Amino acid sequence: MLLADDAVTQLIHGIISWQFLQFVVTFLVIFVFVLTGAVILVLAERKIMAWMQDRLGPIYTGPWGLLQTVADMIKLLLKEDIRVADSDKLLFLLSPSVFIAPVIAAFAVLPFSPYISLPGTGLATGIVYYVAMSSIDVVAVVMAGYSSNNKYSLIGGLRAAAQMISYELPLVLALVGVVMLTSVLAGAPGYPGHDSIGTISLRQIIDFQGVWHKTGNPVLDFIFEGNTPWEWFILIQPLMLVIYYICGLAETNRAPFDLPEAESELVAGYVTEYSGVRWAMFYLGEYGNMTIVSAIATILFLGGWSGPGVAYLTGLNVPVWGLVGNLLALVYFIVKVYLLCAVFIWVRATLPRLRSDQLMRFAWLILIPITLGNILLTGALFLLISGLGLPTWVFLTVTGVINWAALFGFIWVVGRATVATTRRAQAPAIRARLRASTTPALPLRDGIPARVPELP
Amino acid sequence: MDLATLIFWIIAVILVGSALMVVGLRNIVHSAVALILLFAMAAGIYVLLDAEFIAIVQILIYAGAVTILILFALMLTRITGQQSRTNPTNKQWWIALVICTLLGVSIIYAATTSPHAVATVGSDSGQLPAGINNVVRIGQLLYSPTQYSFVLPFEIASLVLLVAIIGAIVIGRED
Amino acid sequence: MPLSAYLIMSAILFSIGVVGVLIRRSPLVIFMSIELMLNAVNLSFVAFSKFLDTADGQMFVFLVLTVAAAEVVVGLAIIVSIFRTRRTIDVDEMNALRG
Repeated sequence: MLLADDAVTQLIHGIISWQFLQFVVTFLVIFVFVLTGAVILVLAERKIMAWMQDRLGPIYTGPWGLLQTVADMIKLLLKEDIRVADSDKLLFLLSPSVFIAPVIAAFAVLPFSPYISLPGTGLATGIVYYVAMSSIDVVAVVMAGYSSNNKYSLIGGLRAAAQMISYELPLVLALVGVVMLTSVLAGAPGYPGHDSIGTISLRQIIDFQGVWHKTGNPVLDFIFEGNTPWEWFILIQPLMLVIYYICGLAETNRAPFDLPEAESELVAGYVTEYSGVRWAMFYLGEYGNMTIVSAIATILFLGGWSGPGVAYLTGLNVPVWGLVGNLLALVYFIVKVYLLCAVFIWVRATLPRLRSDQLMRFAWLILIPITLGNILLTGALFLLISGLGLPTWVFLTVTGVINWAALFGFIWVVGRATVATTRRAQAPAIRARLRASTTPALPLRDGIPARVPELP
Repeated sequence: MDLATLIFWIIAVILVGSALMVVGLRNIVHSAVALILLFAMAAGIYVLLDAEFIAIVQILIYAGAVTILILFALMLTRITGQQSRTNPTNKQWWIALVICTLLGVSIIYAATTSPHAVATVGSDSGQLPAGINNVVRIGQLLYSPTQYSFVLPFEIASLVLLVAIIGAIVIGRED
Repeated sequence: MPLSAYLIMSAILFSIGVVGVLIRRSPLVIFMSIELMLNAVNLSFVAFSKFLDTADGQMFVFLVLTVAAAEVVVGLAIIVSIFRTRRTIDVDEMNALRG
């Protein structure tokens, strides 16, 4: 068994190596970040929504209610694990794990700071990897819906699957705009990469948004090295950020796209029959997804970890300052991510749930044509402007101006579409009311009204 | 035997096992879940073969979209309490088994004795130039208008997809 | 790993897929078996592309993926429409050419 021994020694060497230690530490940090992040987000959600709705929210457990979600977690962990009779046992037990595994796997490509990240951040397929991981969640949702042996669960699961598949398309197409911009910028002085070879690696996309030519002035260098907000892609493609964010809302089944879990129609959708730890895993996955969507939006559109001092301090090549720079980067990144998560909560507190007819129409008739049009427009503008021999910044400015104009057009279109579809849905009721008000009072027969005319 | 070989064998065993489960399981939903496992394992093999982009696309399209469509069709065509009692296989199953064993053996014979396959080229010396990774290479092969590339097949494939979408809408429309 | 290992695995998967197409009665399982066969072919494509040191095999995998997606979309639409008219999708009962 010489061969097997060889494999074993190689395994052992792999396990006690420095890279493996780094991997384990980072993995544990990220795992704990997902878990505590969910706890913090739940508390933040309850507190912020309470504040928006002029309530107090949780106040009894701990100071200012801070320990409420910790208590909830303990309660969920100790709860009885109920399994439905006649359910498909295997799939029922498996689906929470299938739901949460890709969420944690997707964190592998997120660069948290220049050094604190998993080896996966070097993956050349960053964006596609993230999309692939988020598409596996659908499988778990369908599995949960099917295996619960419950009509509400089944309908909720199928609704969720249809919704997640439809909104994946505009989500990917919205990100293509950014990738096209990187391929335009690549190879320009100061920018990474080769001529006209863009990137879909998240780590490199951050570098594309922080190009600063050293001036020699330490104050300016300290603030602006690696932190150039005027190069963030949100300025050039704001509409794509908005559309990506909307699709992220739909992908994570958050309000106003929470039809699969609509309490008034489906109890709790595909999680109806789950309790205790398994229910907690579904919610953990949902909040983890929320964090990932925000993190990807931060990296692609808001410069990732960039902030004053990060690149300057890590560039000094002094271990202590490098550590400080990394921690600063971590802080900037997490602040940006949680600000975007707060927008999730804000949207939930503000908007009512969509109707199912609006849901599909919104994706297929509004979002997908706009994102496809953006790709076409970006490409055509680049061809036109580079054909005229004008520099790249003209192209970026023109694209940005058109995109900002399109953003306001998009808001107007969405407003009109919402009103129109609602009018159409309410039309029968309005007509019936009009008819009822114009018809004369019902004749009395023996003191009681005759049969009421049926509403259509 | 190095680590890659060990991983290959683990993945290969799960792959063949899940393939048998796809074909053999009585419950169709379980078959579909085994199919997802199979796709994921095939993606693992692609990673071992240095085709990481194909691996990710495999998960995205097969595990994320195709299987979901199959599951959807399964839910739409479900008749409760009927499928579990009937025999999932037809009467000529033993003839099929014999034929397929012959087929498999002949393919394996061909694969192991053919001079093209036995010469395990494995040159693998072609280090990609700096800044050109698997993704860039595939992108150039798919889209490049000037060099050797697959632009025309790619366009035709998109046309095939368009036709399929329209065809599915026409067929599946309730009228 | 030598190339023949990948080819043998691909052959085994392909044969299992053929068995599935031939013996199962549910068209959905037949579909899954067809996907299995396509995957087996993809595997050998990628293996060849690695060992011949060219990415052309991966291009073929792309085209196969596209065709597989198209096939699934049309096929499932046909299955659902058959189910709508006949309330069964057992392939052994589909013995009439009329709908």
